[in-house]
Amino acid sequence: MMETIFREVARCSFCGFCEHSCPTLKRSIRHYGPRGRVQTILFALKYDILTEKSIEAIYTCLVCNACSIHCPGKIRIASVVREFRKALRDGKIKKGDKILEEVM
Amino acid sequence: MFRPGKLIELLESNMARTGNPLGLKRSLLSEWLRGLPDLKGRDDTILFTGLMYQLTPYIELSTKYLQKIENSSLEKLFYFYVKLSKYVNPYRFLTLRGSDMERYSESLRRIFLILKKSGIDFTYREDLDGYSGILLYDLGDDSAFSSHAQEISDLLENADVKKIITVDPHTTYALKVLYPEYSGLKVEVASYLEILADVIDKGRMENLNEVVIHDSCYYARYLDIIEHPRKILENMGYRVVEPENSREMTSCCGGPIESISPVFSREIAESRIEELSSAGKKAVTMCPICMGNFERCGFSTHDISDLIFGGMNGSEPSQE
Repeated sequence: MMETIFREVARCSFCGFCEHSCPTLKRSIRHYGPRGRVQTILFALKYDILTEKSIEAIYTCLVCNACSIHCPGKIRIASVVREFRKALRDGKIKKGDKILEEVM
Repeated sequence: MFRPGKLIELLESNMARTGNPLGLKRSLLSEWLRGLPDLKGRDDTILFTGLMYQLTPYIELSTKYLQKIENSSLEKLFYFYVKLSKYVNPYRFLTLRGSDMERYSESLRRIFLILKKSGIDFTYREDLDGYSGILLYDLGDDSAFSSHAQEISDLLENADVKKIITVDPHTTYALKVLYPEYSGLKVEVASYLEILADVIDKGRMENLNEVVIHDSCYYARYLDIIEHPRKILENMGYRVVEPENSREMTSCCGGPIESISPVFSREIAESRIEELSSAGKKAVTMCPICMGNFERCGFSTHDISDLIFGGMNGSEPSQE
């Protein structure tokens, strides 16, 4: 499963076409948008970076899928966010254990 | 933001105790049946409410409380309460005004009556109706979701159900797309809007008001139910006004994160309310969660069933 998530987010070239459609980005800061969320997941999987803010970014996603239709790479953004939640829930994300304990 | 893990814990314990995410007594969720004529019809076709309309007023009530303590030191109270939830029924402490519940019950009754009046043959059986578990899925709790899905699927298949009519987008998505994958459900599922779009003829009434349409994310983007509500409303004589961001570009009401972050969810709703109210006087929703979250933020909408029902009976719902 982690492999599938990684392959999906690694295809992002951070063009930002997805961003204007995101209802949460309009009201907040950069990591609360689809590009930020994809980047958050990539950082967690590739560089073991997971912070309280990244967890917030993942769980404030509406999974409304407005972003995906604009993605030139057809990345399943909303679905990958949900799958990452599942990975967090199932304890598949080992790094940042302490943060997970405090925030989850 | 509330801690997601704690929220999942609460949902799981409520679901285990009562089968619904709020831990409500089943009798509270059956109130809408009062005053309905014969619920029996064709055995193999059933109306499945998924309990979403019934749960929404309670969700909004608890969201109002949660909003007051979010991001304050009182958040701890909520976590303490989560611990208690395995033993105590929360809704002993919360009371709902009858009129708040009535609004949602009325929409469900109207859906029932519209379908009957359109000649659709179906049965409603309380014992075959249940919550879909969609919130568990959204939060990534697949193991709890799939065991719940299995329970509901077994129930439906053992009763030899061949066709399910759903009434809200979240339940429709769960039963139509997720259940076949998670629990092997092989029953035909259709939203009542899909069914009505084929049977409601043109020209029932003229000169009904214009309505601004708010598409549900799940109907528009996950299930491709975009034309159906438009066709129904137009055939009934309503003039459908498209707001900024409509059809597959629709903008979310904020509802999906109302329990994780009531405060932030409210901000999202406010953005959308601005778009809807600048397009026209009254908006129409087709999802109880959208209607409830807008309502919590002071924006009242018509449920699409109220408009269809009004059109069928030659009267428009009041523009209150």
